[in-house]
Amino acid sequence: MGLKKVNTVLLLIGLMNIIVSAQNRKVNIPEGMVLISGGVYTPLYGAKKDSITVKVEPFYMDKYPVTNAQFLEFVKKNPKWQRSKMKNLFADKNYLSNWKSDSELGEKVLPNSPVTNISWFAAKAYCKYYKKRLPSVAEWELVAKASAAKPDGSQDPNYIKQILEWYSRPTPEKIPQIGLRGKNYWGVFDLHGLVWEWTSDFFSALVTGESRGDSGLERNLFCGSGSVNASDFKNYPAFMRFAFRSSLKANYATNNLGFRCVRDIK
Amino acid sequence: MKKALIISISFSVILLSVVLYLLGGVKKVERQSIAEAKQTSDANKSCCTEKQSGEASENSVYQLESVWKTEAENKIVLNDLKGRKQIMAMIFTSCTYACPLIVNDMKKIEAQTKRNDVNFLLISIDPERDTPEVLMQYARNNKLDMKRWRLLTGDENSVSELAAVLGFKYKKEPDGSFSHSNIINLLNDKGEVAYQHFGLNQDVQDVLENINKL
Repeated sequence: MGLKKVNTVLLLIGLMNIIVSAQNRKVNIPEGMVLISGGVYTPLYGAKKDSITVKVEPFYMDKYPVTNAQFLEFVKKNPKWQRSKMKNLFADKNYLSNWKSDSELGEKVLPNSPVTNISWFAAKAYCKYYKKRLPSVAEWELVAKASAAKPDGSQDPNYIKQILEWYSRPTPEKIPQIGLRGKNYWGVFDLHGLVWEWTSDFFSALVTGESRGDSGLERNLFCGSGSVNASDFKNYPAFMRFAFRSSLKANYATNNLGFRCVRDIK
Repeated sequence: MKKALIISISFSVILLSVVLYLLGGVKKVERQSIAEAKQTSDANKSCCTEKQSGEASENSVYQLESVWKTEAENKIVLNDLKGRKQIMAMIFTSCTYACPLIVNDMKKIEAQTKRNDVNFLLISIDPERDTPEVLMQYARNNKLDMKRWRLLTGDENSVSELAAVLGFKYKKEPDGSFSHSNIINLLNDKGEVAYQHFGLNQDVQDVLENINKL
């Protein structure tokens, strides 16, 4: 009888080994990233009055915003992106202006804080170098609407309140380190609370379907006619992000704007 | 006999799983080293393409290295356009309302400027549908003088980078059309944005005045 028990145990161990090895080969999440299994994003403004949803395919997202130390590493490997070599078309004069020099961070920033004073082009180049890309607005917003407990916290008054409180505080002189606040439902940190983040298609922040006259776009944003089309009136933080994005230009480098990367699943 | 059979089966299962596990590990390492090798080769590539564009001015749009196709299927980079002034707009040819008005405004400028060092450029924001043939047809339909006009199409990344430097906003709608800014850009000989005319169906005198300043 004893021998039979031993046999059963051995058999079980063997089976478990098979399962583990099979899983090992299937799950290959890149280091420092988490899997976002996709979902549905409702843009704040659609072309039509009845809101249109965007299906977001699964992708990997960086757990944390890119830090000063990480960006310094990138700049060392890619001298084209040094502050002193920057051309105004790709980043304005504030590019990495909070660093001591091309190759030193200095006293004003912490190595483990999100890198800021970064232009869209610089953020894009960083992601590309690591075989990643910037998230689209839809991807970013899909992940950012998750609270700690739920994939969609956008109807949760406490969650909204928390974000608004951050928006109402001025940017501290020294941006705090990453990862000190809790992660959200997906396991992603610091989407809110430290810095704003670049998206690949930030320039898609327009209001109406057919734009008749360019200046009308911005003017209509918060006035009656513009917000008639809005899909979610309660989500003030989303309005603010929309307004912020629509004010950006690709070479802007400001002290409260950083980024993180995503990667496609192959 | 039965016991012996069970023992041998379970041992073979363990053996098999160990082999599978090891194989998986080996494959992972291989995959990693391939990825690393790819990364370094890509890094080398980017180092060498950068050198070509060293001379452009600080604000020149022509620093963008993207490759475009003309309506005549010729491949060009934006820097090939330097040396002449360009009146340029980003459009898509299946656009029914705004784009025809922009092209019309550009034609007004063409009719009123006596300068022959000014060219006209339409860049498509619709890589999927606006192939060179479609652009050629569009040029014919709009009776564009092909000695002065050129139409370009490029990939999504090229379009977004150009849009980004011009402050041109656009968004693809679910029906395949685009919402977009309406801007007529005046680029100088070096490819710097000298003037931007916003909106539709307005007086183009401001553009003409700015051409004459160049």
